[in-house]
Amino acid sequence: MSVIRTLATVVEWIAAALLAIFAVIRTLDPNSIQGQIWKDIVGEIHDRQVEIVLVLAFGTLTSKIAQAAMDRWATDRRAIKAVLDAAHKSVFADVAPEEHYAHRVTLFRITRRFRDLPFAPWKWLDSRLRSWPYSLRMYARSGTSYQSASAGLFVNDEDEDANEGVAGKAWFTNASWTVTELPEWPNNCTGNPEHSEERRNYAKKGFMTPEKAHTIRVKSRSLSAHVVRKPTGVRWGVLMFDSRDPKGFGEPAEKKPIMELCAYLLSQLV
Amino acid sequence: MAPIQLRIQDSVDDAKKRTVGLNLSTFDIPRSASAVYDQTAHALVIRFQYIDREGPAPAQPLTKDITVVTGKNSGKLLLIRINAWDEKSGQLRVTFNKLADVNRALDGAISSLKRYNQKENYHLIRSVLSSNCSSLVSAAAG
Repeated sequence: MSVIRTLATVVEWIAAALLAIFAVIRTLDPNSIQGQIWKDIVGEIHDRQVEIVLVLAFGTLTSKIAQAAMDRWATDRRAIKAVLDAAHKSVFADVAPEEHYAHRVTLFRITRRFRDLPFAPWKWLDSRLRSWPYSLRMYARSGTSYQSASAGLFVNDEDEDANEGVAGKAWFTNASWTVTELPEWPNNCTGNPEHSEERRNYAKKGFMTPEKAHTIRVKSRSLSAHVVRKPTGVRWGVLMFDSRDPKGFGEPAEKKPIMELCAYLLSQLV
Repeated sequence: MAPIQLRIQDSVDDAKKRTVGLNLSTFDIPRSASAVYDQTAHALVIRFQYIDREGPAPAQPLTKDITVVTGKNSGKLLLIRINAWDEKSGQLRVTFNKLADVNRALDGAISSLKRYNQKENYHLIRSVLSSNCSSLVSAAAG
């Protein structure tokens, strides 16, 4: 819906800009223009003034109506951010303010990136590589730190092992996954992440490859992922709580109702 | 006939207690369950209400007497319809034996399910039915 709304906005802008250009062209005298092509264009515009005004007015009006209609279904990002911030305050209530950045609440959305299109011809030979993969990408995050993330987590409904991270597992199982006490990611290792036992261990418990774990900026040690569905039951994304503390959720049983409530609230907003 | 509310708290609490690892989503845990006897169709209808309002998929027969309606996208159980006509006795009634058939039919369905959330939802519903046998029989009796 948001795509249609954006398209309607663009149509409205273009129609408004064309109206302004048309108003200027109307003041020109075709006979005073030098180039034959431009003379013909201006002449044509002068001859079809009524039609042009009607088309542009229709375009503006239609796009305005479409925007108003789409507003009903459009995702309210500010409300989503408010839910994530409230969730952060509740789940990490006992965390000191200066430590807040180490605990996050993130909403991931399922999407397909243009850059993941299988352009390379050698991929066309393999049926698994030939398909355009889906990935979970950050849609909104609590707080103000780490608000952008280029790394997405690949998901695949046909192959469980191809689902990356705890979020990928929650997506695949259409359920909730909570992992605590992940081992520390050794930052002093250099070279191929695959060659470090500790890194392999971290990656294995986090359901990803060491290379993938290496690309993620924050190496969380507690993760709780909850699938977010639309009210119609269709999966939309994953709500992720993560902390650098191995026991970041304290007593998970106490926090679970809040996490579930947030997943439900988000399902009403997306 | 007014529907009878089924007791689901014990089964739901068990599902909610689990925290670490893989757990059923809140969207697949029923909020309430009710049973009503449909006198026109001569069937006991058990409905499960959830936090969302997912539409139903076409009804699927599990056995000759038992039909289920699942969610269109998640596959969770929304409704179970039990035919009350008992061929052996030639009477209209839902007995404990018939409810045991439902449990057996659900077990059979669970073994063929592939999706985790659907499998666990069926387990949960089975547990709800097992703990509400008397209520279901009395609902069928009107």
